[in-house]
Amino acid sequence: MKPYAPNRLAALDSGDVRIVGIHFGGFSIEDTSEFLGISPATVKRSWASARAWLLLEMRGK
Amino acid sequence: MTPERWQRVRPLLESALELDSSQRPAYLDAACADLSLRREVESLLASHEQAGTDVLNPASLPTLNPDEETRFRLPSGKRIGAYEILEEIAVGGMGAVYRAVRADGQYKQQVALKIVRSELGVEFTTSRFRNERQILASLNHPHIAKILDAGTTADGMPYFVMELVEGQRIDNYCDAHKLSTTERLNLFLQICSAVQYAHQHLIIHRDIKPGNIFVNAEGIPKLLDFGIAKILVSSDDTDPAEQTLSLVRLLTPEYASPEQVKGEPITTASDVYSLGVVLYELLTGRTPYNVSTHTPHEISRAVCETEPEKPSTAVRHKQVQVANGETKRTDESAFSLTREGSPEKLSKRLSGDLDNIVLMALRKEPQRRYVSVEQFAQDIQRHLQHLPVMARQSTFSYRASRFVTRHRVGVAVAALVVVALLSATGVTLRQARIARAERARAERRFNDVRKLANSLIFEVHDSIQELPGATAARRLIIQRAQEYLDGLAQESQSDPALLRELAAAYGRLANVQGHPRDANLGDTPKALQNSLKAVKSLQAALLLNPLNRDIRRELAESNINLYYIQANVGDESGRNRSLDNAVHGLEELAASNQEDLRVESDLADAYSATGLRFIDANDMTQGLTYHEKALAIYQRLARTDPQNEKYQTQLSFSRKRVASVLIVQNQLQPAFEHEQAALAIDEAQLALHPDNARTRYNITFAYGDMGFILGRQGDFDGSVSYYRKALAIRAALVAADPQDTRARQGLSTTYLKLGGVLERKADTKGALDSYKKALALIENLSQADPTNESRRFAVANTQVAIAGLYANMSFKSHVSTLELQYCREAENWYRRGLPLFLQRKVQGKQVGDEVHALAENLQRREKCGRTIARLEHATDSPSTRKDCQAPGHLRCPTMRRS
Repeated sequence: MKPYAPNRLAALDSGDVRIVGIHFGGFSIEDTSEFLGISPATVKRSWASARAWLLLEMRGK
Repeated sequence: MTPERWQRVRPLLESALELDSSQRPAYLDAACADLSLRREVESLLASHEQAGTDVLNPASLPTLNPDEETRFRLPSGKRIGAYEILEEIAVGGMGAVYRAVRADGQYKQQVALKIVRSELGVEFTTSRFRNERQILASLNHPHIAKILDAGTTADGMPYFVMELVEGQRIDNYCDAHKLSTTERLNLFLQICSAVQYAHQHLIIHRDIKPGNIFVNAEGIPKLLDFGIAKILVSSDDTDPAEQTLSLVRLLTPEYASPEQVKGEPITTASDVYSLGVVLYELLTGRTPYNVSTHTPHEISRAVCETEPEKPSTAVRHKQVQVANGETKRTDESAFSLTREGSPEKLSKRLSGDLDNIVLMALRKEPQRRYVSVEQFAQDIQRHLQHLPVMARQSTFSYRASRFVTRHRVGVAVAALVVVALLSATGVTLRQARIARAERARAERRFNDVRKLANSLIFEVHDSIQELPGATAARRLIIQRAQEYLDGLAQESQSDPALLRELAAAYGRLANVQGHPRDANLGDTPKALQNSLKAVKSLQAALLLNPLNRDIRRELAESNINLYYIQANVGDESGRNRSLDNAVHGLEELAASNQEDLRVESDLADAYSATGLRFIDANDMTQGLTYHEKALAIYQRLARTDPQNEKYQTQLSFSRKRVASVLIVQNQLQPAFEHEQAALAIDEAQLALHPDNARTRYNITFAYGDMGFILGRQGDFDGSVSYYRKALAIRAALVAADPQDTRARQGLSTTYLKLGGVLERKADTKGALDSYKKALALIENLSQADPTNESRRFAVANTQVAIAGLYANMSFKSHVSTLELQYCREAENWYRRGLPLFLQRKVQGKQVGDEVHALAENLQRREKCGRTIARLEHATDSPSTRKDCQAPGHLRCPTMRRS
């Protein structure tokens, strides 16, 4: 089975994967930040870059 | 993109994202000299920009206005997300489908863009939508039209972008190409494989109908709209009454299952049902329910209450039917063109198996249908192969129960909305979201652990297994894997795929821990436990999926492994049961398909094991019969696939086993010939893999047996030279990996046998030296694993050999002090080894040679007892002498002193 995008991201950075997974799973930026104990700004920043990468992966390949 | 690359790209990307888009080029000019790196950052930025507020963005919660027909009628050139509309393909009550292309020209490939008119705008605010489309994007199967993208338009209309399938609806395609019934079944099986694949990924289609199955120009069928029905109508956060209503409205009622129509839980069985309707239509040209009108309510009633007519009966009617708004040609001329030639011939083709198969898929109660699409497809395959099918005509009790429920269902359908309203959940939106996130986390963790356990057992362990010196590392890995597996087992009880995976892992673990034929870690109790767990897991999987050949084969395989391990702990009745189960299961599988090499190979293994069992019970004739049965299969396998090294190894082993029985039957020459053939195979293998510990070990068996045969034929020098060859290899293996218990035990055995030949050569000193080496090795092993019966017996065997040697030394000695000393030594060793030696022999396991050895040793002991009594009589005081009068008296105080 070809892993779907979040798993492919796993090859890159496990911190990002957690953020993508949780935020993607329906938590808001604030909830995700609370859940992982990291600042909302970090969640937002990681999310933005991971999402850009993810989109490129999903569309491009 | 590699991790290293990403590490370089990411800081640039993040800094750029912090800036206003107008400031980004200047920033990149300054920060990024590497042109290719810059291009990557730019494409990521573009991807970010394009995404805007739609795809993957949890923050976007589009609100929907009331439907307007015009909102999903899009002009060509209109842009939706990253796509540009080219032309309208179809428009209907559900929405519209367009041919579209990427607006940025990045990809020329045309796609299908489907705008969905939703009755339930509120759905798209939920995270379910985002999760679901992400999962759908992961479906990758040749017969599933791939979902490429999804989102909501600027004015809140949801859309999906899919692989564009140009072709015909499956029913039209079949008719246009005049496909025969068999051809239609084969096409249908491809659709089943797609649905089965999706089910394995926990995705239910929910809306399978001919309108969603297209066959392209190459004749390849593709299933469209996978899982979309679920996104559109179901959500944890929605009022169930609304869900139900929307379901009825959205789905095509002719193809919806009774449970869908009634708003009951939807499972994979619902797809089985809808596939059944599609098959019904492909085979007969009609829908299963002969309804005059097609209002949703009418059809819903029919779906829930009417038993469909047998396909073979339905095709005999002449009237034209209306299905799904289209008139179907069912006149005779159309039949003769498109199907079997005439309604009569078609009816004959369908009656029996196909009637039963289709009607089984269409049963009203989900639990009475095929339990999986796989099973449905297997039954069709069995029909195509002229094998008996699983589906049977419904029994009387089934029909009776149907009659009773028929009258209840009418009420149920009418009360549908009320029931749904009453069962409205009290779960708040936030609770539902947390529950969902926790479930997702649990699933992720489960999958992580599963991957880890499998990778430890199958990759990490196996990659080091054949390396000499790896045993300590292996033990650690195995212990860790055991912990993971036991955790997983508790959560896998109702999923056949997981149960099989678990069984494979447990089985592997057991073999590594204590399979006598593997380079094992010598932990027999753990091996036994894990082997039992493997069998139990497969039994559970088989209950869930009774006809699956793979599971049946795997169960037999795990029974064989269990047999070997049970044999190692001396569990007589348990091991016989395991092996009989395996042979029985494999013979059945082999009888139904003789081309299945895997089954053949397993069957040969089981025959070999049965042969060994008979030999153990002293039935040489049966033992030889089974070993020869096994050899015949291995020879055939090796001929079929000469490159397969596993078959070569097995063939070599099989020859050695046949030889070992021939040796016992004193047919030494044919035995030697088998050994030579086996040796030739082993040497060829060793030339290919000079460093492989297992291959090097295998060759020592031939050397050992050849040594034995020559010894028996009186060629002691030849015998010793073969034993020394075996010794050299085994000793080297033990030196390379002192923890390789199998090589250690093998080394001990070889020393014991060499000692025997040396003794016959009258090299007493050499023999004693060899026996003592054998004893040191095997005692050590037995202490490490005291429950291992075969090692305890090997210790006793070696002790008795030493005793026998001392006894003979005494008998040959002419000096009375030496005579006494040797006999005391002998008695000493007999006392340690003889009880277990006797016990084992008395249990009826002795073969010719061993009976002889037993009798000989009992005689020697008696003679030694007499010698001791005689000589001590000459030297000891009168008071002790009196107790030692009887010949062979074993309780002499002087002997205890020694």
